[in-house]
Amino acid sequence: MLSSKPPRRKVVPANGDDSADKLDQLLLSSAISNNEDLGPFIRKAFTSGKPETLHHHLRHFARSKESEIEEVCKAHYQDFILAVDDLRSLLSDVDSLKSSLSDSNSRLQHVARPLLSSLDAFVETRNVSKNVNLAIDSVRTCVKLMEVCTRANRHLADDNFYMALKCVDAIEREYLDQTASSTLRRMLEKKIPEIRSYIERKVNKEFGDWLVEIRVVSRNLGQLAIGQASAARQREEDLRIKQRQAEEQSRLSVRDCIYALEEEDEDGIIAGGIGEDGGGAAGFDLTSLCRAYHIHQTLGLEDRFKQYYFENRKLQLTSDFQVSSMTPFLESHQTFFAQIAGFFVVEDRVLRAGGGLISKMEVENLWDIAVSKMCSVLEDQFSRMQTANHLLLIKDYVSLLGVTLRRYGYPIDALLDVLSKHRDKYHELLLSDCRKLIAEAVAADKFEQMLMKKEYEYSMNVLSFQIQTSDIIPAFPYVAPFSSTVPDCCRIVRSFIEDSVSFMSYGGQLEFYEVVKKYLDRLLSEVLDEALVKLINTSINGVSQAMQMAANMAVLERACDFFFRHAAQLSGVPLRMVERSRRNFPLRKARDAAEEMLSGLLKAKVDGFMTLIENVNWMGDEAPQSGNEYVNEVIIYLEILVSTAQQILPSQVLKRVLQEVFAHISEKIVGTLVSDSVKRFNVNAITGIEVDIRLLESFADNQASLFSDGDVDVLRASLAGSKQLINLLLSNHPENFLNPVIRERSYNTLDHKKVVIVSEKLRDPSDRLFGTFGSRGARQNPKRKSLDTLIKRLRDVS
Amino acid sequence: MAYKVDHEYDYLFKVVLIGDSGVGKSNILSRFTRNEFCLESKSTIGVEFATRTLQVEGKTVKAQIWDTAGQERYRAITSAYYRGAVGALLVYDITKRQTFDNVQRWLRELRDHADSNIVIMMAGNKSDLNHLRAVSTEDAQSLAEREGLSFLETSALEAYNVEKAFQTILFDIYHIISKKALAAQEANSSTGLPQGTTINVSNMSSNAGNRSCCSN
Repeated sequence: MLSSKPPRRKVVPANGDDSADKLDQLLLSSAISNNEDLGPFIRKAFTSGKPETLHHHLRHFARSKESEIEEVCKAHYQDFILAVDDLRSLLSDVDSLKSSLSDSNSRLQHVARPLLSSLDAFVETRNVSKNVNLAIDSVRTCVKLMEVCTRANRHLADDNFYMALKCVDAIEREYLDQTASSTLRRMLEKKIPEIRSYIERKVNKEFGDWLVEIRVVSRNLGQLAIGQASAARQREEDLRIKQRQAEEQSRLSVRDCIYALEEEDEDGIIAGGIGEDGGGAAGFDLTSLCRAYHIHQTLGLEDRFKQYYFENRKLQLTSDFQVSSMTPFLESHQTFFAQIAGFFVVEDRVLRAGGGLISKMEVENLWDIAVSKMCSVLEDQFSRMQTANHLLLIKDYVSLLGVTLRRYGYPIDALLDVLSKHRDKYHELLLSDCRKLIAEAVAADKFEQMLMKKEYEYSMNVLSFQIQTSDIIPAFPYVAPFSSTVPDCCRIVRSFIEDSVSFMSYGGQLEFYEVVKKYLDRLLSEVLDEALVKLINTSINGVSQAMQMAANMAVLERACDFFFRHAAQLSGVPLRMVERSRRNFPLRKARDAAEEMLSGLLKAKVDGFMTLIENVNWMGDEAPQSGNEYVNEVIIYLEILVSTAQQILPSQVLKRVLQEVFAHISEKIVGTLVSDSVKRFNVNAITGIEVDIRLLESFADNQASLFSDGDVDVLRASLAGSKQLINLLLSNHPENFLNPVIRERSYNTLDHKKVVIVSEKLRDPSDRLFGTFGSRGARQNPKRKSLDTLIKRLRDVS
Repeated sequence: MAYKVDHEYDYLFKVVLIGDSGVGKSNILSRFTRNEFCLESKSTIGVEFATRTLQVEGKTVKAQIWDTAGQERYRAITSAYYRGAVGALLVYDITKRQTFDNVQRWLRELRDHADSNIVIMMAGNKSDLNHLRAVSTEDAQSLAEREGLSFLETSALEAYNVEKAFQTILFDIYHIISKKALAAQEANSSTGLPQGTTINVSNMSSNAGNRSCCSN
């Protein structure tokens, strides 16, 4: 109503005022309707100087409102009186109600008092019950906690650390917050870390014990693994031996085949036994290690434990590398390598079964360290070794180590490189050893044929080097064509071959025959050949010793074939490939020296007999019909020589020697005719020399049965020089020597100067007979004339 | 004079520590002497020593233990180091085989420079590193028996057998000294008898004491 009245009131005055006042009133009305602040309007009224107008309007408004109020009061007076009357009536009712309420309250109090006592008792009992329930819950929680604690303690006592940790984790996760007792909670908060630390220390101690134990186990394991590799190699070697035997059976008799088959059966049984033994390899225990790792994983310390494991194993490996300077490496090397081998066998197992405890890269890292160290140790030790056997022992063990670890996937090329690098040194040492042995064997030679009383001696000294002359076993006692030097040197060479092959075998190089052959060639041509040459040139006394030496060389030539075949067999090379590549005789110098020595000695001997040529009657009346004395002596000697030589010398050697001797005899005859010791001779003497030459040729013909090729002309050809000279002197036409065609055909070995000298010495018997028989002298003249012509022409030529 | 003036101890025993570099000699020294003394001084010849007093069979013994302070790396230990030493602890490292192999060299040096009656104990240190062991206990025991040495394995880290090692050395030294003193008394007594002179007991004690000083 108030809000609606002012607009009607204002609208009426607005219609009667000025336009300016009308505008102001409209604005004011609008402001009042909008409940806006009227301050600006009032302030404007006062500043504009019109407060009286506003004051007037306000008083007018106030009077109109007082009228309205008076109207409202008059209208409501009646209602007010009625209301007061109602209130007076209500007061009376209230007093009545008050009494009633007081009575009800008294009765209620009287009735409720017992009930209140019951209620108090009930509340108290309920509180007790709640507390008891809380206590029971707490106790139940404690009981469970104690059960878990008991279980944890039992696991700890039984060293079941994983289960103990699980219990401790459960306690921490499920019971620690639930535990009402602060004492108990404090105890748990203190003990839980302690238990974890205790478990960690315990497990670390177990791990430490495992580390100590695993080193002993590693050494035994390494030895066992290398032993297995060695056994496998032995089986392989046995198989190869059987194959070689089978190959050799093709050259043996049926009886031996039966024997070989029996051997094969036995080998089969033995091989089976070895296989069975090899199968029972002992294992080793990673339980402590895996347990420690698992516990550390459970404790959340996996990375720390992995690092701890790696560092300690690396330190153990470094400790394994220590090579004692007190003990010779030759004694300690097996332990050294076996320890390292065992270490890596263990690491391989840990890598595969350890659940990530060590990574492949880490194992390879350790292996690189180990290989580098082993190579360094080997280089150092090899550089100080001066015995071939020692290098071979180390090499064998290292190659077995290599085979063993390669089976586990470790690369071993660096180790094999070290072995290859010291191949030359090994062989130099071998050559040096063999040089000493051969020098001793050669120095001990008595130049006597070996006597063998039993078959095993024959087998040991002859068959084993394949230097027999026939495949038939001889009757015993058997006298060999060679002296003791031959089998002694053969044994040395064979052991050289075997030692060389031993070093080259399993050394990473599969085709090593060429290397073995190279060193074998060096042994034969540098060591044995030189030793034999030296022996021949310094120690030979007499023809028999020289002959024995020549015989030895012939046997050694066959032995050399055996040596190369043997090297090929041991190297695994087929024999047909070896035989295809024929090679020079490595002991050629010694053979030539021996034959030269024998020839020289024989020539000296023959020279002794040839001095008898001085006894020839160069101006005799008759030609000797059965030869001169000197030639008969020579032939007797040669017959004895050949009958002895053919027992031990091969026919080829004997032929070569006889050629030399015959050529020498021929030269001696010519030399005698040329020399000053013979002043003149007649036809009868020359005829005698011709008889001598024919006797020698007859001797040569008798030796035809000795030569397998039946070539006797070679021996006859050795006498050509003297024969041609004699033919020329006996010819009726000596001037034919001047004819080139005839000379080339019949006198090709003659020297012009010698012909002149010898021809001048020829004296014609007719000089003495001329006075007695004129007619006979006339018959001799044509030859004399021809000879004079020859002499004159040759002298002119010279 | 020190013996008479200073009543702190009955005997002063000089003990030297020898062995390869890095085997743990200094740690053995500090472990043994830490509870009683720190390093007292540094000698002009480049060695360090520390002392500790302990009881040996009722006698107060002051152990003066000398350490090489690294000189052994250069083989530069002088004779002065060994002069007057009555005991030696020869230390090797059980994880380094070479240090054990060199024990022979150290023994030779001891016998060249030190008194022939010196008491020698061989100690295999770092026994806590059993998993890195490179020298077996049996090998060391054999060498000790061969050379007439006492032998113990120790761990300076764990204080294992360090006390026992020094106790053993000092005990043996004390017994040798006692035997010498007893022999001196007997000699003196036999010398006195033919003369028929009355021997004063206090004078005899004084003589024995003097000889002990000389022995030290």
